[in-house]
Amino acid sequence: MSSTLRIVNGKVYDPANDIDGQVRDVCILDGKIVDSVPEDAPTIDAHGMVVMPGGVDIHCHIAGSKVNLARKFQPEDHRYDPHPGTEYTRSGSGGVVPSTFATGYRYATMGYTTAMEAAVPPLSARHVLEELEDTPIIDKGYYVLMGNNSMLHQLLEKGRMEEFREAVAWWVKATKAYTIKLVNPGADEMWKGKKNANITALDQKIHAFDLTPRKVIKALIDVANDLGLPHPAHIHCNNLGHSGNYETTLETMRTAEGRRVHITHIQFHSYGGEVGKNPVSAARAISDFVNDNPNISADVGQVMFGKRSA
Amino acid sequence: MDKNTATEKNTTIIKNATCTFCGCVCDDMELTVDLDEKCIIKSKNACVLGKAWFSEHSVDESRPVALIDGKEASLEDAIEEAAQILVNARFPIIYGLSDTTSEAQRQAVAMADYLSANIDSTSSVCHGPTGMGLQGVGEPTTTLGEVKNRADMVVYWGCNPTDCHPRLSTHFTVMPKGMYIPNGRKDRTVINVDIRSTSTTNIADLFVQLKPGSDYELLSALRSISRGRRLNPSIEEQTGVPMATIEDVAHRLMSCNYGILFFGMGLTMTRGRHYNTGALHLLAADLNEHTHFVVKPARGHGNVTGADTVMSWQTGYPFGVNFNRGYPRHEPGEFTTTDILVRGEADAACIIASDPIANFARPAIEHLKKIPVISFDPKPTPTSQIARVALTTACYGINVPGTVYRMDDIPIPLRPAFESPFPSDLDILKPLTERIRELKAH
Repeated sequence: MSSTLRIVNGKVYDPANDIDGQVRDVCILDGKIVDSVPEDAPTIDAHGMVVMPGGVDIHCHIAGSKVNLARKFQPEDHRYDPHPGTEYTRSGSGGVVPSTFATGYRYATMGYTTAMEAAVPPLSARHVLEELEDTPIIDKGYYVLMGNNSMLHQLLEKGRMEEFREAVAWWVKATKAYTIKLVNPGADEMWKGKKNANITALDQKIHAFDLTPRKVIKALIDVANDLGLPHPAHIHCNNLGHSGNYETTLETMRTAEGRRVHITHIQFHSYGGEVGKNPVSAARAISDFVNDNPNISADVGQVMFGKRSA
Repeated sequence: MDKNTATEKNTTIIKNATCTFCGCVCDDMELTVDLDEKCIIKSKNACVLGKAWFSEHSVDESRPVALIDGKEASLEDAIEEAAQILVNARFPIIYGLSDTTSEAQRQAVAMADYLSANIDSTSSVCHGPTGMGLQGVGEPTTTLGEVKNRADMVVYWGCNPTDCHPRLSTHFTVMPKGMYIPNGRKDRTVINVDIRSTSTTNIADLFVQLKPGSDYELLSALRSISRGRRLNPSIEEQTGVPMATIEDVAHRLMSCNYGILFFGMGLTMTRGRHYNTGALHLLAADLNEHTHFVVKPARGHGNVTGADTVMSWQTGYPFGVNFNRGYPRHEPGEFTTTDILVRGEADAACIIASDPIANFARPAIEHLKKIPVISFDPKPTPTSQIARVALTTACYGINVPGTVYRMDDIPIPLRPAFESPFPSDLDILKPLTERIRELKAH
């Protein structure tokens, strides 16, 4: 038996099909939008509502150990934003980092159908899967962190590229990730060292390895392309938030040498000016480069107003 | 045919099995299982506690799956009785959860939600003040793997892992060689701080004995030195630790490459509680001005960390959670189980995988004996003895698959050794929750 649905009286927005706020019916047959369905199909009256493609949040933090620690930090924050349950839905709490059930319900209420958790260490993947299973309604997936992996650093340092590729493929498969994620590539070694330091340039040596961030970035962009992952290497560039970091961002994008790459929360990597002084916008240089290079995709990231967790 | 075959045991070997006895959750066990006798006859790589855990969890098939008022009952009747007790209670409480899978913990929180009940784990009588301490000051965190590979300074404060977590030192933190610790033990300094010497003192390079109840003062003194301040000499009298020792410890902490502070109930369950744990977390934060320093609680039961983890993601709060307004609220002292019982508020209790009658304060036990109790446990316990409904369950890790969380929040899969004829906690909680929803809908 096929399933049918007709949504009537809604104001339809569908940029891909040049539909801009028209009031019209949307017919659905077996999960696909079609021209028409039989007269007796179940009908939803969407009068006064917008009908649009489901939102896809390609970069969020909704599950896993770091998110859960943020939940534990702030009981007072949850208390101001209770999320009552119903006969059919679970209760929870909101605030800066809502509980899993509240997260699913609230995404759905905002018109989202998909959310991708953007930072998962392989060792915590099982935890993320458990939380996502408790995040209702929306589709979920996640990106596994590979940019500061000591074992991958060792393989790369020795030029064992075949094993490097197989290791990345194994991690993606074993953790059930959607693609690979790089966060501040190469910098963890410095940060875990005595000085809690950071990497500042792509050609700086990574402590204890005969490697640079550029080599790590290039190798992982190549692997994601070679493996044909559905989304390219998802990169949080080095020097996030620092004045003058747009040059690091441009260098990271050039490192792709024409191959597919995604640069995330790019607005925080588009600052001109000098380190230690107030930033100025260098968004023009960044947006020109992105527009001139079709291999590059980007998301702007979200400025958080009010309370946040850090 | 070999004439010995008939008498040979029907055995199998389970590799990479997980021990759920303590918070180390070692996952490199090699278990030899007697499938006919339904018991584990050998547990390679297990510590003395793990060996006892595995050898003592055989299955006694003659035990009834359920008792109602001490009489044998079917599982269906026991679930019905339990549902009726919980639905008819005005202030039902759910407690325990530290020795079961995260899958069962998730179902228990769901049950509490649909029941508008109170739910709490053994954290509230253990490392609850750790959760409260970090609410105020944050947590410089790590994993045991990072400690193994990087830590050249290991501090055990108010805990005795040599007796309570025997493989913490031998497998993770002190003895093993690591990426930046090529010589293992020789490359590490171990400091033990406690009010008395314990087995852990024997493995320490330095033992600092302080007066009972002066942990906060000693932590504050170490913080002061790390911030370049001069100490008032009265600190010697307050803590019983000579000034030269305090300065020596502070300078060792400040000059290491990667340090970790492990701590136990010597900090959380003595006077000062969450102030102590907050001060310890702040000491680590201060030491990060000099080097890389992290903190981890040496947590006890196999999945007590999971209880905090699951409750946090489902409700936003780690323990002491109450649903009676239709949404979760958290208040230690108000919604923690001992306090609820001492005040005589609960009128029914569902105790999952823990034994409060053997462990709680006397006034709490007295109240628990007055109200209907439902108990889930693989073994008869003092709690199951007083239970209106006592359910016999399969043991997690030995009979039941699933997930548990190591003391460093890392999820570890279970690889059970043999099947039990008894249901798992989850097998019971699912139909119990469904029955509660049915009854509440009417």
